[in-house]
Amino acid sequence: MEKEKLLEVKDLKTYFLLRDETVKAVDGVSFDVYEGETFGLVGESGCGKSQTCRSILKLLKRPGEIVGGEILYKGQDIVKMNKDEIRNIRGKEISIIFQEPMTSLNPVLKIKTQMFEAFHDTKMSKQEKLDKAIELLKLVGIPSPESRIEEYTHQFSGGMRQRAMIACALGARPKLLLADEPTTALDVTIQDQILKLINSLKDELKMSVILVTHDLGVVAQMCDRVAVMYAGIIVEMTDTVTLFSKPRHPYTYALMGSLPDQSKRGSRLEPITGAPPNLSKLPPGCPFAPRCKYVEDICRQERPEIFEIEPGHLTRCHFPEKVRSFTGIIDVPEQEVGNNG
Amino acid sequence: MAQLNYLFKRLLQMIPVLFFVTVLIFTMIRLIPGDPARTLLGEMALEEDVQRLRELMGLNKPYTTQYFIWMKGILTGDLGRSLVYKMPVKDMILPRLRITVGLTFLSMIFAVILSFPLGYMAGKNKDKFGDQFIRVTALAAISMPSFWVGLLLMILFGVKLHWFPVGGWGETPAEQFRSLVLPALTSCLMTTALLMRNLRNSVVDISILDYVDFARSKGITETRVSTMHILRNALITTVTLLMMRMAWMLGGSVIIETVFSLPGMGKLMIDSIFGRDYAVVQVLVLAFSLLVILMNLITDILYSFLDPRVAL
Amino acid sequence: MKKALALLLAALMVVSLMAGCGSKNEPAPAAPATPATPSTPSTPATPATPATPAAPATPAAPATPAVEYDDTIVIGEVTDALYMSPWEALGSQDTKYQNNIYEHLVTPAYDGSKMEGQLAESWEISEDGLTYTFKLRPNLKFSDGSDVTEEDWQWSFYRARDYQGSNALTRSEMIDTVSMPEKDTLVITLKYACPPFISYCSSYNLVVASKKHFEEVGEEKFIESPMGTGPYFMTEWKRNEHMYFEANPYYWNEGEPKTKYLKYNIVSDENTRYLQLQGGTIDLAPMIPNTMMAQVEADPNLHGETFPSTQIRTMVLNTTIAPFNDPKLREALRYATDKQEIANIVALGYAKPVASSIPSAHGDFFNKNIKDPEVDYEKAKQMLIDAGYTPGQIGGVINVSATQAIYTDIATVLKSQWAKAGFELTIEPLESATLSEKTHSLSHQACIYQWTDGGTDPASLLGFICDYTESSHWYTGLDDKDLEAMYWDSQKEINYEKRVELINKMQEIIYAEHCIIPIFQADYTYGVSDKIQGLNVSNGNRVNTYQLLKTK
Repeated sequence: MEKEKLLEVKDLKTYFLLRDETVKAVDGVSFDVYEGETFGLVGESGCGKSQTCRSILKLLKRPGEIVGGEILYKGQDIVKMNKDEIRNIRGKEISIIFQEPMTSLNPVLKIKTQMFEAFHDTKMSKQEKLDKAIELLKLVGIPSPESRIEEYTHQFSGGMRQRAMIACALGARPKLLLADEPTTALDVTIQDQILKLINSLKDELKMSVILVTHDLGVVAQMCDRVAVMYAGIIVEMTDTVTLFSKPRHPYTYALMGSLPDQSKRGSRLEPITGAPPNLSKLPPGCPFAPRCKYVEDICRQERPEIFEIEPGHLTRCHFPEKVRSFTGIIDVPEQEVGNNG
Repeated sequence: MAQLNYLFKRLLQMIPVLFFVTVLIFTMIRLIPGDPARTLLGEMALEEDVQRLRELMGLNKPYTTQYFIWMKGILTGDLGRSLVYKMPVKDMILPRLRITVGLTFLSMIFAVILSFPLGYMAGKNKDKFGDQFIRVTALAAISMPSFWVGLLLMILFGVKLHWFPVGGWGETPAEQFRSLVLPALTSCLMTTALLMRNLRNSVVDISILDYVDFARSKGITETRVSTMHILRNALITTVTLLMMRMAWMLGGSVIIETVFSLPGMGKLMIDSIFGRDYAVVQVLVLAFSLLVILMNLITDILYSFLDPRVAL
Repeated sequence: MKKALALLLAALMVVSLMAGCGSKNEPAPAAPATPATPSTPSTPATPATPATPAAPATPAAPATPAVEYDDTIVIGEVTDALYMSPWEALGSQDTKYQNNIYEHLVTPAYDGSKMEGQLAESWEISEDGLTYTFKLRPNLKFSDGSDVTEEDWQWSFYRARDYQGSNALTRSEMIDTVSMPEKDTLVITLKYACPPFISYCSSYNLVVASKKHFEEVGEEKFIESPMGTGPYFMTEWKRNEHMYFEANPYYWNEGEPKTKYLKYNIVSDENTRYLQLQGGTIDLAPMIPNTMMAQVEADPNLHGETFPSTQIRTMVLNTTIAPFNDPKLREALRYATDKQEIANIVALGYAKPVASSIPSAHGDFFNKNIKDPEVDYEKAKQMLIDAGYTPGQIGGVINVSATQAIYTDIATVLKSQWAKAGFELTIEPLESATLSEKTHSLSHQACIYQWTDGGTDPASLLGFICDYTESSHWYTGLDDKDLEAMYWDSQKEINYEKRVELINKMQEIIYAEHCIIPIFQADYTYGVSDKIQGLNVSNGNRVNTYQLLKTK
């Protein structure tokens, strides 16, 4: 059951070229996304996951620039595309939704107008567009869509806005949806609703999703495969079940240690010591070195290369034996570890 | 409907304000030293002539009587007679109003034509050469005194090139339009610079907002992003600023009017104050107050249309 | 970016398109205009004919037949008229326009030396000074073609006497009756003998206007709708924009006016007016600031012309409050006042210092013997010390009008001069209304004013000064009852020599008061296009518009 590769990111480098310094937001990231899957990008704030997403659609804010690597979508390199070519990709093939719905929708235009923007078929009549838009609103679960469509952003509640944004993003039936922390700004109950919505839409529209989040719980709920990022690079990448049962990187392991665990009631939360890295002044060597419990001299001098520690499981550490000893937070019998080919 | 209610409410609120203005201006103009009769007759005036004229002007009546006479006139549509020109004030103001209104509109049009594209370009090319150049030019424009700019324009385009008349107001509408071009260019400088800076800053602030990126992500043209998303939001404050400047300009500009020999409202106001022409000053101040209040009202309503987040 | 540039270019194109809409500066080439014919150099002979010496040869007519003249002359004025009615008129501001329309029985000669007939050919004064008989020119008509009748004369002169809105009543209140016993003979009787009356007859309120016309348009509209016997009639008046005149076809002096159309542009800014002169929009700019004369001379198409005036700038010192209440101080400061220097610096040589307030143009009435002392700063200092002052520790304030630069200029030079005698003069400009309020209430210390006298008799100025109720002795607060009595005597003195003696004496007394100090008499400076010929200006600033010609 070979799935098609939809997107191939190869050694992507996105830097922010400021006057006195260069912030290396994404410093050599590679991964693939297959049809019909939800791929997670997880990490703390500033690890480069959002910028990776934005790089895919070239929606970087100045002075950010893609300085190296390739992004192959259906065989074509997005990095080399000109303005018109990328416009054809945006909305029609790949869409994005952002974290904060209030600021992601234009406050002075009606929802209707903003939804119409997703429809690129010039032969559609006004009525057709209206019908399609109402249908989309229904699809994302907004009640009374006929009246709602004439309203403005500020008249919607938080969850509704997110749904509206999703409706806009899906207007042209893209093959890939980039969801940049779509639920971070919402409260927990709504969060759940939105995530379930994304899942159902994914199935209905036969879409792939790249889900960016800092929340491992969301990863567990939504993702098929996941990459853990730190300081602009991927430190571990595998399928979700494996990640939670057999983490193979000190950072991932530390992340799980900081999760509240029902089974270990009463035990302490272990936050990760140290501060997040300064992306413009990265020390040589492994970026996690300053905070790693298992650090040794080589870690500080040489950045480890990423390698396949087990089939379908990549990690980036100088001490594979050490990481093999990590235990995850779920127990999974060996045979259930899936083969993601 | 809500808008009509609001309108009505604001118009009602106008009345006590205007009433207060009448008392204020009536008192103020009489508090400053100087008397219309003596000022009119000038340095070589004989005392007996001054006294006789004072009597004819009704200046010897008690203040309250003078006030009531004036108010009664205003409420019945009689704006009074100018003490200096001996003409009904209404007849004096109307031709001047045409000139000032014409000048204001043309000036605003020039300001918009110049500031909108330049402000947008500056915002889009933040900190690049284009932006720096435009901002420096704007600074230079505000720093140059208007009478100097006016004279320069007149020398170049009027005297040397004969493209426009050297001051004065023409007879036919075509001539009149031509005679407004140079003055409008001179007076639009300040407004252009202000609007440009405002628009530039708005564009800069808005360009980095998420909804701009989101709009782009839908695959629409960059033009549409610029117009419907960036400009549509950026122009809100700029348009409001424009309205306020317009209200201010409708009060007339003495310098422009003097340099270009345009008999407008500004000059009338200044001359009337210097000449202590109570009747004219009172009406002008009242009219201008009314104008400012109305412009404020229009701006508020316009704002609510431009930005749906704002409720009246 | 490209779109914005495109917009800009579009705007620029629109602007330049409008510019291309032809320039209407130069008068239409065509227009044959009366080929310089106004030849008939006025026949009437006799004292009349205002076309006097000055008329620098109307080269026009006889000369080269090839010379073509324009039918329009444009004059640029800084102030508009306020009233075009002779009885509302305020003075030269209105009369410079009204002179084209309204005429008097007599007017002063351009050099002010004597009275000449305008509507009158000759006149006689009775022995007792109560009856004036004028021989009028025949067939006088108003510009609408109607005859000037006895009724018009009566109505006009009685109105001059009785209309309460006029500020010139002192010059007409003595009129008793006006009648025309025979054709073309006008007889005016006075209530009392008034020697200056013949000079008063040139006053702006003593003109003949059409009673019928007044009744037709009504009192209110009359201010804007004048009708007279003069060389022009008004065709259009847009306040603060322009005033247009056209030649009066019924004018009594054949051949005048020489140019059919006369236009006045109101240009409130001196710089703009100069630009208009330079560009050819206007042909004549009267009373340009002295400082602009050099520019005018430098321009190849323009030249400047100067004419002697009766305009005297005078400093007045308030004798009722310190420091100028001390006559010794005032006299001392005379020695520190270098009028020649002031004239040179402020008027750039276009002025001469004067010692008496009466202009020299008034002939015998002018006291030639009054002379200012030689400037001597040391002597001034000594006199101050003798009077009990310490030089360096005395000072005063002079108020001047903030809107007219010339007064501030004079005060500035004066300040530096008086400083040499140890007197510190502080200059305080005030806006005109505030200034007049201050001087009227005698709360100022010093001030500078001017007086221009277009007549041939000093009665107006003397009345202004000596009749204490009129101006508190020209705002000096000096109430000299003897001087005033002398003035009233001079107003009644029929004997010419005696009157001359009285008036000369009055000037001496005024001089000795040391509080009314005339500074200089400045020429009128005019900016003129080289195309203009025949310009002459009277010492009262009347322009001979009816004799002007403009070449093409």
